[in-house]
Amino acid sequence: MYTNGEVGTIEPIQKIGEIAKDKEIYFHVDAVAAAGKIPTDVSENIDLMSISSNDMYGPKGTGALYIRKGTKIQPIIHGGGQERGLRSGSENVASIVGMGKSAELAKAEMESEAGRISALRDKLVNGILEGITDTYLNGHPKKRLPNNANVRFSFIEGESIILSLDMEGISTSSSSACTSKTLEPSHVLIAMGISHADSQGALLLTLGKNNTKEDVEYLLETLPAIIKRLRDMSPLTPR
Amino acid sequence: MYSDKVMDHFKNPRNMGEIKDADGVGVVGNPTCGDVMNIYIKVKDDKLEDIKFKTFGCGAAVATSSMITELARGKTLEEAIEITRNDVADALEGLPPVKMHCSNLAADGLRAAIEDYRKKKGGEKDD
Repeated sequence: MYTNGEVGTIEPIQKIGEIAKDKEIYFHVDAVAAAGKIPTDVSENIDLMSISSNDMYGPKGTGALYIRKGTKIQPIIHGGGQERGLRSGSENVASIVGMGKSAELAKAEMESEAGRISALRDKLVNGILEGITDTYLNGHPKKRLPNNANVRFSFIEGESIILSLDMEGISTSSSSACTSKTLEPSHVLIAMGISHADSQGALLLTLGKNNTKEDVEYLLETLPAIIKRLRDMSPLTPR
Repeated sequence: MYSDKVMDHFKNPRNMGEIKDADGVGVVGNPTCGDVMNIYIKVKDDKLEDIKFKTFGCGAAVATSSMITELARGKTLEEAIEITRNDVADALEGLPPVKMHCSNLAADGLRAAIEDYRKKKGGEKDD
């Protein structure tokens, strides 16, 4: 992945690509979350890269695969031989054009929007870390997607946080075991050395082009009471 | 995904808190799976005079803890120990299937609290 799906860390893709090339291994990069938000470069070390339209505010259900010349791939959809036999089925022209337009707009606005969103994100993260005790940022403070904030709250569980925020009109997500289909805690947070119990209290906040300073302020006003209520209820909270 | 009843108990949990001089305490679950439940009971004349809970966990974990306190309060220990996970889920107008096993711990918590009470009482008799 170009950027980690949970904590937004920008991965050293070029270096990984060098290793893959050195070992003569094809290198495919999932850049769905990164494309349109940060510059994504298909250097000589990247053979394949996937991007999607809906993550750039384009029509849902459309994506693109970059294929370096000379990279051999097997089609998984056979039939009419469209797209040079790589993906059969009539092309969805309207969505393809829509994706192209959304990519064009994302590129034009990328620099200014990344600056605006990362400033909002930093305000959000700093506000949470300063306003609520026993709270930590997951992932790198700077080398992350501009729209990604992932924080964790000790002694409480993520699903109960997102349910509570949802009742206040704020949509968020969590990687706690309770919110996953597998009922396992986040492998990403565990790999980062965070304990199972602490990983349960993770909250993922992603900002978008429609988010404003007022939205961030509303969240910062709303969150402390929710965290307090859940901590009052938790047997893990020290007293 | 949750019934209105679950959301009601999540928003306004009944009997949340700790009983400092509890006669029995049941602790079930663990933070790794994401749910920890403490059930505190006060027993008088073999009846549950008071019951409270503290819970770390998802919406279903909180709602089932809250519901068991309502189902069990005032019951005799014999009656209370018969309350099953399904009784709790039914009283909450159902739980999502995935939550039936992991978060539906309240009946186990109550049983653990009653066992703790009986063990302590047994110990007192021996003194």
